[in-house]
Order: sequence, then C-alpha cells, then structure tokens
Amino acid sequence: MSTDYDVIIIGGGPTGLASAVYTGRSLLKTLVLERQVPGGQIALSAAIDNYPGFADGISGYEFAEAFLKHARRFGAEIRIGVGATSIERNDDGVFTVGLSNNTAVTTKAVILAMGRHPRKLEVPGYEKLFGNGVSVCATCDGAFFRNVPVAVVGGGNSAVEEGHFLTRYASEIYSIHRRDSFTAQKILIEEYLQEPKVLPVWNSVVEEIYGDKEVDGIRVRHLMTDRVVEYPVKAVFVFIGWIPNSELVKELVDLDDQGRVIVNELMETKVPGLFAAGDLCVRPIYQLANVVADGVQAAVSVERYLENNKH
Amino acid sequence: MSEFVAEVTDTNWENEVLKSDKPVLVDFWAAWCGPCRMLAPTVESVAEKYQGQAKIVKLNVDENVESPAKYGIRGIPTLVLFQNGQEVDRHVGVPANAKEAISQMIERRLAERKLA
Repeated sequence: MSTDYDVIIIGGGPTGLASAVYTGRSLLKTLVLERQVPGGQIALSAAIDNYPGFADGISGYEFAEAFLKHARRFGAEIRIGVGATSIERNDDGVFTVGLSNNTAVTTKAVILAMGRHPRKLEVPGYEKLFGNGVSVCATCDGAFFRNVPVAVVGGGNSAVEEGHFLTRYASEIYSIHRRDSFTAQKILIEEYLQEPKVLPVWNSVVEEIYGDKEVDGIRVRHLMTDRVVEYPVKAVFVFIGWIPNSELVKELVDLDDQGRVIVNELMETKVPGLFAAGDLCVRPIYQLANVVADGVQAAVSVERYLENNKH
Repeated sequence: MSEFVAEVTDTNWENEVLKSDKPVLVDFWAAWCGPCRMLAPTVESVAEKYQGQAKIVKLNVDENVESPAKYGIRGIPTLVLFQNGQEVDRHVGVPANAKEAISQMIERRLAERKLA
C-alpha cells in the first residue's frame, strides 16, 4: 500500500531532527513538521556547555542549525512553519496527518517529538505585558533591558542559566524562587551566585506583574511571613517549568497526570506505528543528550516496525 | 541578503513602511536572537507567496534604535503590520503554525482592502 511518506516526524527540535538523520539513513521517505522554529526550545539558549563533544560550548542557534543541516543531508523533507493539526489511524495502520495549511498527508509510521513549552506564571499582568517586559527568552529580549533592574522567576537550570546570561545587560537581577535553594546543576548555581548583580529572593512567589504599557514592577510575597514587597523591575523573565505539547494526541495515547506521553524503552506508545520521544514523554531526565538519544531510538524502532509490517 | 524580504532602517522607515500603498509587515529581529533567525525562512516564504500584494521587510533592532522605541518593541521577534502608515496588527514571539499564522495576518488586511 502506498502512502505519501514512510514516516512523519512531528516536531523539528533536536529530538525530531535526530530521528530524521536516522530515518533518512535508513532510506525511509521522511517528513519533519516544525510549526515554529527548528531546534525547538534549545534555539532559545545562549550557550550550551554540557553537550558532550563541544568543549568550548555552542550557542543554541548554532546547535539547531547543525542538526537541521544534518537531517537535510540524508534527505528528510523539513516543512518549517507548518504544524500537525490532527492525526488519525485507520484499520490498515495508515496514519493521516492533517496540516495547518489545510492539507493532509499519509504515512505508515509517526514519531511524536512535539516537545514542551514554557509554563506561564498565572498572575495578573503576565499575559497583558507579555512581550512588553514579560519574557521567557533571555537571549531574545535581554538586550532591551540594559542597565535596569530585572527579575528572574524560577529555580532550575533554565532560571539560573538564563539569569546568569542577563548579568551582561541588567543592573540588578532579583532572582525569585519559592524554595530556599536552587535545584540547578551545582556549577551553574556557583557561577550565578558569585555575580554581585544577582540578588536571590528565597521562599517567595510573584503575586502580580504591574505596569500600564510596559512592566513597572512586581509584587512578591514571602511564603513564610506573607509579607508583600514591591520590586521596581522593568522586565520579568519566567523559567518555572514546562508543559508537554501533547494536546494533539491526548485521545490516542496514554498520558501521565502531567500530560506527558507514556513510552517504553523503545519509544513505543500503545498505538502500533506511533512512537514518541524527547521532552514530550515521561523520561527520567530532560537533557539534550538524552532527548537526542530518544530520537535515535524512535527512528530505529520505526525502521524495525516497517520491516516487520511490510505489505 | 534575502530575495523577498528587504531590510529597512530608521532612515528609510517613512518611505518604505509608512508611505507604502500596500500592507507592510515588519519583522523586528537581531543577530543575537536565535528564534528570530530561525523564523527568517518562514517570513521569506510568506513574502514570496504575497509578492506584489504585500510588502515584507525586516528591521535590525541592534542597528536601529528609533523605530523599535517608537513602536514599543521590547521583545523579539515581533511582527508588526502597517497599513496606510498605521499599525494594524502585531504579534510578539514566534506564532505556532507560523506560516499559516503570518499569512493570515496579511490575508485579513487584503480582505479588508477588497471590501473598501
């Protein structure tokens, strides 16, 4: 039976692009759909220092470009700015994927690599002032806030890393975290807290981001005393976690209570021919090196599946 | 240099953007913004699609400080659509289903013009 593609990879971040290298090398006709930017979340990162093999570090943009180039080298068709809006599987095992340009394509196998997006801060002012001082991308927006005080919200790797990046621009960085210590990699915490511009605000949460057309400040509540303090910051960079992009497949596959796709070691979902990998899934760890490995495993699983299901 | 997307500057802003007889979509970007650079191919392909109907240009916010300040650009990428010298639409960040979303921004303006 003939389909438009052998495999469709939904998501063009490092996971999906790694899959595409392998499916391409297996001579499978591959389509990658990337609805925003290739490289996904890593394209936002200023510097990647922990991906083995890059001792001098590499920017998120360069990393994304490298993966894109590699996927293209082995023949993957990569549609940028185009997303999947629906997936259906018929009884013959053929998947029909609806696209955002109102067309549809068929395939024998699908790799879900949609990743995740930044969690929003559910406080007044976040939505209203998004893009006017509220940001989730330090490399995109840091330069607009030279020599002014800013806030960073969060306590993990992203908050600490991006907060550190902002020290080249901002005059002060109020680093707001609801716990009493960061959960980031130790070396990152050390570098961050050594910076005189960084002023940690522990055990605290942002209650409100205020300002008319742009951010003028935030109200922060200390969780133990309930005391509320105002910080006159001109920007708020939010790094408080991620939401998996699993909307598309919530009826098709099993999700955990956080909305992450459940997969086995071979990146199989409960649906034959439908595989999932990377940030989208339940994984013990979410590091570049791991999600890239997931992408490779998913591709190999696709190849095996197609071999075993030849019509 | 891109084929379908011209660079505008503070200097030629008035002529290229405000005085254009077609809708003008301005892509505010900078070299240090990864997502901005990654969005470029999508903006390019939309520009090609609407050649002759709408004008798509980009402004480097590193090299031009007046226009970003004038239009309150404090986050990039930001896409601002102008018609008859006025801002009529704006999107901050990379939209999901970017090609369709950006096309729709232009389609809405073209539809209005047809009614007028």
